[in-house]
Amino acid sequence: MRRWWLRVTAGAVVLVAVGAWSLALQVGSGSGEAFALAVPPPTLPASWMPAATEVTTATAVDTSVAIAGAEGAGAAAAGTVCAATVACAVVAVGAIGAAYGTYKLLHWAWGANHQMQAAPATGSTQYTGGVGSFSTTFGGTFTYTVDQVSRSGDSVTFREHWQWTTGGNDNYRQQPVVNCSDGSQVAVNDQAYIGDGNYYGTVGVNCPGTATGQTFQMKDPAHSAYGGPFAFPDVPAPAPLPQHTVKTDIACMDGSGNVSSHAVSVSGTFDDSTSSIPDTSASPCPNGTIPGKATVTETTTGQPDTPLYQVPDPKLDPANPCSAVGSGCVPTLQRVTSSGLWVDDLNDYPSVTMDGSYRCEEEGPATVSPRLDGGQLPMSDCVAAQPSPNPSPSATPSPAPSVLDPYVPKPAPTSDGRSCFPHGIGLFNPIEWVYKPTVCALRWAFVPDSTAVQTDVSTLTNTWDQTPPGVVVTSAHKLIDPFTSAAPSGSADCAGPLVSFSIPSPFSSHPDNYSVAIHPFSMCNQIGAWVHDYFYPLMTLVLYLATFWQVARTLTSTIGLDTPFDEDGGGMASPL
Amino acid sequence: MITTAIIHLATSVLSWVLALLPSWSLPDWVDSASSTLTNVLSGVGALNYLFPVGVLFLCVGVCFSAWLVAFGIRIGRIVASFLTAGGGSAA
Repeated sequence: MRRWWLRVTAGAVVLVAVGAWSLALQVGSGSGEAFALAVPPPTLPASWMPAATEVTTATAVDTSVAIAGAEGAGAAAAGTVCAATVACAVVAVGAIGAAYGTYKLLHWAWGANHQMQAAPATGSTQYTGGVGSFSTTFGGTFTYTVDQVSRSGDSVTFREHWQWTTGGNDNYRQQPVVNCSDGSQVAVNDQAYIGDGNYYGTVGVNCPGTATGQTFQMKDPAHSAYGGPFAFPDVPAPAPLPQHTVKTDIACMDGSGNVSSHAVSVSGTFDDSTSSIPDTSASPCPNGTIPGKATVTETTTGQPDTPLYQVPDPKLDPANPCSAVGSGCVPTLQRVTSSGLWVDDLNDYPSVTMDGSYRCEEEGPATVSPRLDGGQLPMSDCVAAQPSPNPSPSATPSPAPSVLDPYVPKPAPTSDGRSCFPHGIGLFNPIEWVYKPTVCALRWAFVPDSTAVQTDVSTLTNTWDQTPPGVVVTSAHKLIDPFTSAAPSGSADCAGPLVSFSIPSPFSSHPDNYSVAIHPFSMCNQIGAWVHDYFYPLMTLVLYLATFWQVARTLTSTIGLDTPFDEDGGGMASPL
Repeated sequence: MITTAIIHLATSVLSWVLALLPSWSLPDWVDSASSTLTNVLSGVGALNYLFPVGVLFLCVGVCFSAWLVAFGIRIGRIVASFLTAGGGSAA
């Protein structure tokens, strides 16, 4: 009967445990969270580069060489430009006579300042000599543009024109005047030419206060441009450059390794013409959380965000309370007492040569209770954390006395006569003359000196730690300690344990391994909560009952009692 | 001073005796094993939402303690069985 009852109970326990675990696995699977990858830092998009807006003007002109020549029907003064397809005879004058050299007209240049125009001078002859002249011929048609563009709404009027004939072709020269939108008029320095029906030219205007404008192309073989005004083509105002920001998002994790909040920092705005990205002010995680993975994103107004790169999880241990922001943990020098307890040592200066009676512990502030303990650190951390060596004589720890070194007793207490001898009215009490010296003598003789005893015990402990049984005990303690310190308390997070691993990248463009962190047993959903609410108490109860049954069975069988817990009437589960 | 001297003498003698034993150092694998155990148990502890791991640890500890107590009782019974004053054999 008992065998049957025991087997049914054991079977039920196993069934409940396995069923709950299986259901938990089914619920938890697939709800893991995969994230994080280590990708190379990106290069800035080309759109961030400043656009090239500079317009090269023809300034490579030897201004010491004036140009004079004939334009069609009449000779022009120095500085007169030649019209298209009009043969010009030029004469070099001026400073050229001061130096012997070789000269050749390479460019025609006209205009002034920003409206300086240039065209290659083809067919020019070369002149070598000092003072003299040479001639060249401007051949071919030309088209020129200007870099200045006027505002929308401005118009142009061809104020005057004159005509001459060369080779049977009519030539016109017109000087446009721009009627600016603000009511003013500007005579354009450029002169436009229309010749023999195949001239194409572009003139530029520059109204007051106009930084930018538009081009106006004159293409009028029939000379209809004369008499204007002609409205400028309406060119919409240039769209403002898109504004960008750089956002940094740091995932702040709680003590279970789950993201509890985000610390977001956003830089100042900048556009494509900005050569450097403004600094981003730091936005730390709140106290008590651990900074985890960071994501840097470029945001553009009106466009979707562009992730730039991710900083992998710094791999801080969430279970370590000193990993949390604001923990205030610092490396602290500690010394073991005679009772085996480690206490802060505020007197000695940390040194890497210290023996085993000292250690460097990562401790939180003493004012915070319970005090945070981040575990042991290398002694070098305490040395580095010490701001400056303590110059006092107690800066270096006193060396532990060697085994069986001679014992040097302390000198007898020197008394000023007030503690070991009566004083005041006690001088007249004979008992005081016996009692006080006796107490002093007995105290000196039999009350142990705590410092000396602590030193002796520390020496003994150090010696013991180096013996084989001491090493065995220490090893056993180190192996058992995780069981006592890692026992969970209360209900853990529904995400379950975090499993991290790396997988090779399948992309040749990102050869770095991907870091994957998942919660394979996550039960953060309604079904998981239901399983937890109903099965957790049941499993707890089953464990307690099974433990009670096993303990009772072990103890009763040991003392030979025949109880219902014993399967065969006694003697089972004997520890021997 | 007398008490201190006695303690010093006792600890010195004990230290001297212990110093006669061969000197060992803690093997490296202990630290790595301890660290591994800490990591594994920390991961197991994170399962506490799914399964009462803390209760399981407690129950295993209680069972082990009970087994140790039973072991002591058995030893006591065996020792007592050799006394002429009585006591039966535990065997």
